[in-house]
Amino acid sequence: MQPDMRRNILLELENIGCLKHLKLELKPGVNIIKAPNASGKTSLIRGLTSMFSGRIPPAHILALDAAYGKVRIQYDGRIYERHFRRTPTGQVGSYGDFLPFADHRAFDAAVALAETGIVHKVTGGGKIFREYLENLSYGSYYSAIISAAQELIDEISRELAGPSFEKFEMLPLLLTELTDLHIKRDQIKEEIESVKARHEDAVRALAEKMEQKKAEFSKEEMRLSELENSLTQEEERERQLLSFLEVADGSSKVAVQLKEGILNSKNQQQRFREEIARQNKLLQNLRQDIVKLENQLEQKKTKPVEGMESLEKSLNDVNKAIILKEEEIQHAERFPQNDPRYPGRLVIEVRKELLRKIEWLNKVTEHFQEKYMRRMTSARLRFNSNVARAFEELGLKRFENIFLDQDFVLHIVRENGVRQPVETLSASEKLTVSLILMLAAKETFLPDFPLFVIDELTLSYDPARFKQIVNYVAKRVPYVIVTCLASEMPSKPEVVYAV
Amino acid sequence: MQKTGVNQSAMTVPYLKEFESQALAVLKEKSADKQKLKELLKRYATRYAKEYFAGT
Repeated sequence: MQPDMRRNILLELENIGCLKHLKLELKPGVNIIKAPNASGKTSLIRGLTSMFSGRIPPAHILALDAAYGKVRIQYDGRIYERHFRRTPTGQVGSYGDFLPFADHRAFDAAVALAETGIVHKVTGGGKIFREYLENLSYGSYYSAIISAAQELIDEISRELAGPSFEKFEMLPLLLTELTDLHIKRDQIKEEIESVKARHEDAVRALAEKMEQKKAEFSKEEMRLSELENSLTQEEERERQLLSFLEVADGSSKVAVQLKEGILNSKNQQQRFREEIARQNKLLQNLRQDIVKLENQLEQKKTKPVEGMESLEKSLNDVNKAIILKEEEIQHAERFPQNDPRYPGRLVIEVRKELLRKIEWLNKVTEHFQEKYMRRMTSARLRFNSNVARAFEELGLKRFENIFLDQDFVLHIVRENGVRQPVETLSASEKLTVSLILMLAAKETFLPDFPLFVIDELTLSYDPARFKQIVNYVAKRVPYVIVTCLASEMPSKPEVVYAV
Repeated sequence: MQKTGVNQSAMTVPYLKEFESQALAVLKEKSADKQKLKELLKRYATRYAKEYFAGT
């Protein structure tokens, strides 16, 4: 025992709970605080607790009708003060000192209150003590880190499953679709070129045909001209023959020959005329053919190419689809410039970054899970060992073993090896078990904490057993503070020392 | 064996020691703030994602 622990603690309360003003002196050993109901025992405990743990809200400590209250403790030659003040809005805040051994865990391991904590849990039939040991062993720190890391992993995973990254997942498909559109565009272009070439061939063929016709027409025109010349010559020859005949003797051989010549000339002229008529007919036909070909050519040149319109429409549609697809790909590849989180950044880079964040968070989770398991297993084994020692030293032979299993479930084994559910214990046994669990927790996690407080647990308790347990606690803790009901005592709490 | 595991883990997880001391400081504050812890995790995860692979 530390020598400085052996000094008295002077406790002064002002406007705490129902206590207007109270001064008490707590001595090393067992301090029994006796008072009637509603005289401030629990207020006193709350005030004392506020000096080493912030677990009780200030509003539950300050007197309801007071704007200000104070707890003052003289311990180890020093004075510690904690103040409670009510704001105009009705909120209560606290400020000031904590005792040098203050530890928020002490509320769970060194303050036995009927209405909260482990006593309440055990008497209420509670049997799972994971959270209790987590808080005392700081395993809760690791579970808080694990839980926060898991929440972040979930948040990032949800983000990765969101629309921006979903589009990115579609990128290979979008690129395939773009390639297909480019192939389709090339095919349409080829077809357009082919249609154009066919059209130009047809125009060229028409033009050639027309040139041929024109050449033929010129040739036939010359032929007509020749025929007309020949006819003119023949007519001239006939006229000459007729003039010769006029001067020749009608019965002479010359006249006969001239007549024959005139007849031949007439016949020849007739043939020429017939041939000229045929030639004119031929030229007329040729002219018609040429006009027809000219019209056809004009039509070919001016009218739209057959099938071209639909091909050009298809090409236009495909070009539009390509532009849209490229925009879609750009959106899938890169965040927009006005994106609040990743403006203008490549989706693949952000995705990689988020996956790396998850990787680190997973590593952290794994590390703290290992640490948590080790911390909790060690805490449980030490806790079980202290529970077993307490039962053994107290000589409570009705219990063979009381322990927490690996799932932190409380098991109670009777002397005959029968397991008994905690909820079926008697009220007195539940109280014994809860006090021993709390003491074991204090010895395991807060071995140097100098106080142990038991608030009004004697009502349903066997006095002899209670005394036995309190004495057991007193051997291990410098200051034991016990409050209990005393109907014949004065109206405010007083200390009965039972060293 | 387990202790070796811890050391290995602490060595192989970048920034872990630095993070752990800051996280425990946050958790030991009177009003342990989960959001603050998440911000701290986020900061180190971002640092890991950006710095640890720099140049790779």
